Amino acid sequence: MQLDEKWVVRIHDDNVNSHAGVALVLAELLELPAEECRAAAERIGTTGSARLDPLPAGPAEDFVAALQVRGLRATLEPAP
Amino acid sequence: MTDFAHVTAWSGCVRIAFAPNTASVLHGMLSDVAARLGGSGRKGIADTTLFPDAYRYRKPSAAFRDRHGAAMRAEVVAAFDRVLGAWSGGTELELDLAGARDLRLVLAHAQSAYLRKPRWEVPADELFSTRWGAELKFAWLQELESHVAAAALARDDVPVFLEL
Repeated sequence: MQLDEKWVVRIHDDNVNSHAGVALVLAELLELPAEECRAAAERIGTTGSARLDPLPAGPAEDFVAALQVRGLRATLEPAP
Repeated sequence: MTDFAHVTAWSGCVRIAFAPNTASVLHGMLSDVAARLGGSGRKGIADTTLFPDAYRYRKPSAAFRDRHGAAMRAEVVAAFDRVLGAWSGGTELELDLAGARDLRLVLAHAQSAYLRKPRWEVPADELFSTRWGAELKFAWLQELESHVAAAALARDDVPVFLEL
């Protein structure tokens, strides 16, 4: 992990979390309205993944940890 | 004996009515997984089964687990403790939003105990090829996770009734 570079959090589709479950996690962590989160969960299911805006290394890792604690598959990749 | 769970949402509250056998079996499953989260060896559930690699490569992923793994597991264990502390296996369960989020989290992670691979790696056509023939238990965890989440997301002015 390079501390000075930015990192993209990617949330992946899987075969075990329901769309509603993913939407509920996004609503909690991103504090977005339920409808937006449902749409985002559908998009993840359709496209296979979704990426969030780049973050500094520490907050990006914390966010991935929060998503994984809630059962989602989330990963980190260097921002382009 | 009929198994069922009726999930309703109204006015910020999620209520679940279970058949007695459903409540008993589900409570037993969650208690068993909670015990295994705190255990080690063959019956324990490893971090690599609970949480996927955070990075593309193994070394940074292992370093991520070193930094965050213990706290992440502690959060999962705490959610199991809260759910089991609030529900002794009775046929009625009433949850506020935080309680519903906890229950969804617990239902999601409990699936790990019944799958042959980490949850996120299981192909759709192998979902019900579970350990020890636990297809029905896995199916209940998965369906209830979906229903609890859908109920928790419901708008306050639209009642929700889900049945499985």
